[in-house]
Amino acid sequence: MITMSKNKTNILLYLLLKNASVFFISLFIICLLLALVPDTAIPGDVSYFERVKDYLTIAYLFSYDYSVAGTFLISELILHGSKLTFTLIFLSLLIVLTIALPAGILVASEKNTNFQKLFTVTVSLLSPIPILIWASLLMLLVFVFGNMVPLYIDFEDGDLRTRMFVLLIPVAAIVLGDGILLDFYNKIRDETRKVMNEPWLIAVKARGLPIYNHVLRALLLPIFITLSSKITYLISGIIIVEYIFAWQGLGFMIWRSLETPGAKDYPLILGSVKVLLFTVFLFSFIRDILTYKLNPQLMK
Amino acid sequence: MIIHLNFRFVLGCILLLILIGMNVVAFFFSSDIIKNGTPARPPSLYLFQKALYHQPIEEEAVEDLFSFSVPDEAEPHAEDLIFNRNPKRTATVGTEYRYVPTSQYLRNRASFWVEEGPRGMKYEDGAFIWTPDSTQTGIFDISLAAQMEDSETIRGIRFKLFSDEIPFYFGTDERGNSVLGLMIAGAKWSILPGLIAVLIAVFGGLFLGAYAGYNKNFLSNFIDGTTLVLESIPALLLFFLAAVIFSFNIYIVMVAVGLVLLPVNINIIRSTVKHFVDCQFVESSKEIGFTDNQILFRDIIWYNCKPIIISQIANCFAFAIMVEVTLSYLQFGIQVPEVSWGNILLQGKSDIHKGEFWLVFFPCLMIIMSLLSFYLTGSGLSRLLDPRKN
Repeated sequence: MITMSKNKTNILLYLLLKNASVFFISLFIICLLLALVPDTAIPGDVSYFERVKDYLTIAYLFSYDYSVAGTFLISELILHGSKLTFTLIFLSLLIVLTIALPAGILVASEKNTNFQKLFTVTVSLLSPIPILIWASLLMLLVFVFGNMVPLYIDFEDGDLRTRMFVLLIPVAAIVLGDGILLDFYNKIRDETRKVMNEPWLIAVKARGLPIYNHVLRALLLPIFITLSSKITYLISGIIIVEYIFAWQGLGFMIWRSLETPGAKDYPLILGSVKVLLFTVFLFSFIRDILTYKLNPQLMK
Repeated sequence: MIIHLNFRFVLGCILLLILIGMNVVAFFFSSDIIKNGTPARPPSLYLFQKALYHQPIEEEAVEDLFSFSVPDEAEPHAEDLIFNRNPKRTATVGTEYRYVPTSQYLRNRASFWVEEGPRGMKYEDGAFIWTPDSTQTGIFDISLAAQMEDSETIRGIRFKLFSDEIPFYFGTDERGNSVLGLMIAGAKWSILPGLIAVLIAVFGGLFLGAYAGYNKNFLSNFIDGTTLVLESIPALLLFFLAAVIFSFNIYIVMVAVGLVLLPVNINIIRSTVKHFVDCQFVESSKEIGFTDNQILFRDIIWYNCKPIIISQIANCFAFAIMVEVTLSYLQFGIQVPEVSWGNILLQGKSDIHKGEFWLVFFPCLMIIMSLLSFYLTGSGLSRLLDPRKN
């Protein structure tokens, strides 16, 4: 459908509408499900549809209030949680790319070297282990050899070195777990191999020009496609990591609100979920725009 | 057909058989497998104990060297350690407990004795030995002392010794339950709930994906749109909601797992079917007069999609196990007093500061083993069944 349209504004509008509709439908599904959650604090005469209506109002009209749990504004809590969650997300992605990008390009450039075999086997063996297991084992290792349990409280109170260390443990669990590093590495390696054999790159080589800026540009789209496809997995992983290391991020707040028996903090849940879904929307939208921008064939 | 068995397939099958065996034991002997012993007993293997006791964590838990009296620095060997080997902390009734405190050189130049300990413990032939009888079970405070020939300083160590009737190779938890028994009992939540998720995800994905790939109409577009929406919601949120709505019923949560995995399977099968629809063998099958269903399910799915389906079954099983463990860990899955690997891991996490590492290490090992069993068997089997590779 993108290829058929030739008008840039129309394409942008189409992409925006497509991704926004996915975002709103996802939020709608969450509201429908949230209204099914049994809650003793809600009076018996409130019907399912009334609850759905209330949640839709909260979700779509931003009608947040104070948190049920405390005296904080929902927006303050979400802002604080977002800071922590996005710190973890972006730092993890940064480390994944810092490892996967040079390794993938290096492995694709050389054939059958020991480094290639060693790196591929190591990453393939370590990556299928889930984030939960990595986080637990890393916590255990830090306890046995470092004589500490790396929780968020140490991040708040510690000096710079402790803060960096406590931040790196959950990030390492996210990077290593659930095949995130493996997927990026495989994608970058395969795409680099593909690009290296393209006739236009051979022409660039023949002219004696530097090739790596061309390769990096060609890798931008595959990296972003992988990123947007992994972002939902990453968010699930972040929830687990935040719970294990007691980071008071969005995932932790959702977990705590849902886990509490009795009255649940629905505005907080909806606000947090909305931020996470919006992140997914943003990544998908940027991916679609990049697909269109970086691939001139789609313009034909 | 000559079956070329590869290493990963054989290893995967062995691990899978162990997992199935544990399931069978858990279902038929669930009440007998969890033995009871002394609470928080470390694993019997000294190697595992060494991992913890090389470094004390808290003042009250310090069980390394200390002096009964302050050493005089002028004395020879005043700063030397006599008890420079960590003692084993576990003993079993009827089996000799043996602790060699130091090297041969120091053993020859020092005298050793038991300051405080159970009846029958003595120093003999360079080692502290003790064979507990059936009445000597429980936790004993042990105090061992030593003095160098040319020194007046008495040195000693204090530690707790766990004595039980059976050797708990994986240790025990805070209530004295055998961790090995808990591991086996927890295995029952791996295969059966996973089966529900696999049935929905793989077989639902197979039929819907095949339909969407072979036909192009409103229904196939609707399937595309639904998968797009389902993929954009973080799966764990849906599992949380499913768990809370259905009162933590793991079987219903597994239905949700199946539904979440459905889009992935639909996409894979659809793209494969789309790839084969334009192939020559499909055209020739049409010419011969086969029906669409025959072409789709026999020629395309049965002959060409088997490896994909097998690997997807394995992946879905592994995913379902992981979801069960994660939800139990986050207190949304199997609820106490039922035993699940996730529950044990959670207990281990909360007790990690006490040094009970075996409650984290062994569940992690078991989960990795079960995931590997599915991944290896799945990938090995899909290679065997791939018509292009045979």
